[in-house]
Formats: sequence, structure tokens, C-alpha cells
Amino acid sequence: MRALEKDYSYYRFFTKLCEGEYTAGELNNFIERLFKIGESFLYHRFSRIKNLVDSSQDTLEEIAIEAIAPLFQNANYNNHFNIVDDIRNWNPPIKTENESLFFLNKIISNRVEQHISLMLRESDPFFSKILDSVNYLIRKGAYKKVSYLGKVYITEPDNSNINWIVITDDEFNRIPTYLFCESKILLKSLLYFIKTETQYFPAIPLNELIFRLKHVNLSDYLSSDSVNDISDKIEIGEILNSALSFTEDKLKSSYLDNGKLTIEEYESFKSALKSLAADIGDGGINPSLYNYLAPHINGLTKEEYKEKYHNILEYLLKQLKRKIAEQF
Amino acid sequence: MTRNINITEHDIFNFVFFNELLDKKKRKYIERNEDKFELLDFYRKQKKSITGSIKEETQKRIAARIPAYKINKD
Repeated sequence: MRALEKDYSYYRFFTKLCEGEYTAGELNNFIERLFKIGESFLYHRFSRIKNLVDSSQDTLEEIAIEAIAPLFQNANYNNHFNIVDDIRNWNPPIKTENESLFFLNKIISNRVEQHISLMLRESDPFFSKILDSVNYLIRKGAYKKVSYLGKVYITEPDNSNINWIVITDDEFNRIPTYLFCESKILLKSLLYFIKTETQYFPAIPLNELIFRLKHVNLSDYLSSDSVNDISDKIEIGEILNSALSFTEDKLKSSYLDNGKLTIEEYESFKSALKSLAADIGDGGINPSLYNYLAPHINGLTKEEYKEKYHNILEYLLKQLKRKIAEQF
Repeated sequence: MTRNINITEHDIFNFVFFNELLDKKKRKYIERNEDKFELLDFYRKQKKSITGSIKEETQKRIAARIPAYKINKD
């Protein structure tokens, strides 16, 4: 292990990077610093992604690396890394050490947050669908999306600079539920509430909004133009139960009835599917499916899981997600 | 709510990393209201960690994903 030097100038290295005059050691040093910034941001956002990742240091490192890697791909039309274009195109132009490090914080936090959003979309069909609907409301009302430490906030059409503290996740989750129940005035009502009833800048955290909507009332946000009678409202629990029941039938007919799984294995898969459905309802699934089956089969190794069970569980998960999506 | 001061994300960043560059009025305000600014904690942790050690295992991972990064064998 070795520590990075404290007396370091990002701005000086930017100049070298843009001119293509740097050593391999200097580039390594710079990449390691970007990795550290990405890692610090991931720790900051860990509470939101803890359900989606193995809680190991290894996985967080991989996400941090994945988020900065595209910055060091060569742009198509020249031999520069993509980050050189980002530096040159940044507005206002970067002229100082302070602006250099702030720029890095902005682009890396944005990239990590994009990665987190992708993970949320892939692991949670509810999240993905509601996000599409909210994006429609944003476009329709000409609201702005503004990044603040990587997190995306929805602001009023004429308010694209956040110049005050933003609402915390805890405070946002304490906003009265009735304000989330009418999609046509949803954004307007929430921004008005934050502006008049709290000390915060009028900005709605996008991902937190999706999670809040998910648990308030799904049906109002699936088609933003439709007017739903209260009797038509769909509960997440009902959708999950119905999709789980369908997938369990699939498990039985495709694997138990034709002898591909024993009754014990079948019961273990049923338990794993229940946990998967519960996690989809509660913020998203962990990408390592092994973790869902292992608690139900004594002594199951990762190798054995991969060889015998992974394809089956992956197929069943696809069925579960498909059935959930069909009910929107 | 009305207020007569604006504090941006960049101001909070400056408060932690480049304190001397921050407008005096803003600096005093943040000092007196630290508990309001959640971002302070994030940037302070980053400031501590940014010069921290990089493990060999991490270097290997970076090299596997970013070809421009060459593991230093020194």
C-alpha cells in the first residue's frame, strides 16, 4: 500500500493532460485520486445502494472504477481521453486549483449517481416504470433537473441554480402523504410545500420521490394523463403477490413436475423467490443471486450454485420481473 | 421563507477545501450554522481520504478496467 502525495496540483496536471505531456506515473497518480473521489461519494450514498450491492469493499471499489473508467477512454475523433473534452468544455472555464477539484467532484459524483440510477432501474421494475412517468411530468411542466453533489433534483422552470441547502432524505420522507396522491399537480404541490413550509431550497430529490411514490400509490403514476378512480388503485403488494404466484407455478411446472429439481430443491427455490420479491418491493435486489439461494441449501458453494442452479434462478427472476411489468 | 444569503454547493466545497477563497460573510454564516450543511461532512471525509493509501489489489482492479493505468512495480 502507498499513500498519495498531499502536495498535489490538479490544475497543473489538467494542463499537462490537455497538452498530452505527462508521464505514466503522473497519469496513474491522477487516476488513483479520481478513484478516491468516486469511492468517497459511494460511501456517502451507501444507504441508498446497500440493498443492491454486496456490502463488501470489493464491490464498492468496482463501482467507483466503473464510474471513472469512461473518462479514460479515447474520444473517437482524436487521441485524447474523454476527460480532456470534459475539461475543455466545462463552463465556466477551469482556471484555478479550486475550480479543478470542484470540477472533478461534479463529474465523478454525476457519473457515480448515473451508475446508481442504472442499478436501481435494473433491479427494480417499479422504480423504472415510475421514473419514466415522473420524467414525463418533468418534461410536460418544463421543470428543470439539477445535479447537486451528483444527486438529481427537480426544480421550478425558472430556478436552475440551487443556491441554498436542499431537503434531507429524512425530511423529504416526512412530507405529508396526501401531497403525493395527485399526479397532475404532484411537482407543483411538492415544490410549493418545500418553499413555504420548510427552510430548504425548492428542489425535489428525484430518486427519493420515486421511492416515495412507489409506496404511496402506484396506479396514479403509471399513466400521467389518466384519471383513476380510487377503486382502481393498485397496491404494490398485490402486484408482487400475483407475480410471485405466477413464478412459483412456473417453477413447479418447469422444474419440479418433470424431475429437474427435487422437492427439497423446489422448496429452497420458493424461499429464494419470496426473498427476491420482497427485495424488489423494498428498494431492489442484490445482484448476487447466490445470496438468495444459499441460506436455503445447506453447504451450497458458489461453484456448485453456478453449475447447478444459477441459470434456473436467473430465468425465474426474469419471469418474476416480466410479470410485475405486465401488471402496470 | 426569506433569507439574505445564498450558499451554493461550490461555497460548501470551498469552505472545506479552499476556506480562504470563500466570501467572509458566507464563511461566518456556515461556521455559525454547520449543522444545516450536510455536505460539509461529506467533503471533510473526502479531504481526509483523498490522499489515503491504494492497495495493490485495488491497483490491479483499476488496471484491468482502465488500460491507460499501468501498475507501478517500484
